[in-house]
Amino acid sequence: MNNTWPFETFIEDIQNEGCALLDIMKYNNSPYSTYNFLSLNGKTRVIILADDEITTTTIQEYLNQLELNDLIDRKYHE
Amino acid sequence: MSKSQEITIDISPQGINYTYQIRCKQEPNGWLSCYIPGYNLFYSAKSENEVSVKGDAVTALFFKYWVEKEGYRAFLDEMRRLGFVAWSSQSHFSSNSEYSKMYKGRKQHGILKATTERINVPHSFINSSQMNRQTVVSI
Repeated sequence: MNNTWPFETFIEDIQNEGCALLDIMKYNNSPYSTYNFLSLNGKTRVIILADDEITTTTIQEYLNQLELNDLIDRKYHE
Repeated sequence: MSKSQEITIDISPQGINYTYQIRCKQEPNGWLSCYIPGYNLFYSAKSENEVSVKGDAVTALFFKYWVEKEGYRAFLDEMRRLGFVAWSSQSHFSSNSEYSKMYKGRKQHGILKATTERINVPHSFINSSQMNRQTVVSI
């Protein structure tokens, strides 16, 4: 299994799975921003910190929150 | 074994003064996977310095999102869902009436608290290292 995965690919994947992107928020003058998603069941807001790459552990936790638990087996394991 | 810690959010017209804890798990390639109990936030970092800088940014954006985008009532709903209780600054105990006052807007300030020992830590972070932070965000 890889340790990190491209962030943009992850964002595209969860949108393709049906999770709605609510907005992108930037924090003042810092380089950091968040992508705010609605989970698949529409009940939970999931705040994802933007980055070039993210670890598989972080992806797993985001997918748990997004109700996309099986996606890590389909896309992020080798 | 991790030590239990109180997470405090002090809301006032000047902003939100809050504490949080970061749990970190080192990955085989040296990266760090991070978890913020109570707020239920996750992110990745390349170094220990990046852990705290990103922690401050993602928690500040958490408050900005809920208060500015979703609104104050939705923010309080989310904090209740996450397990925070409302505390009286005068009597120093929690009660349902404190949340009621905050919902009705009779209070321009309020204190919310959660305890890390009551939070179910994700399996990946059970044996992780931890650091404590305190910061302020203007809303």
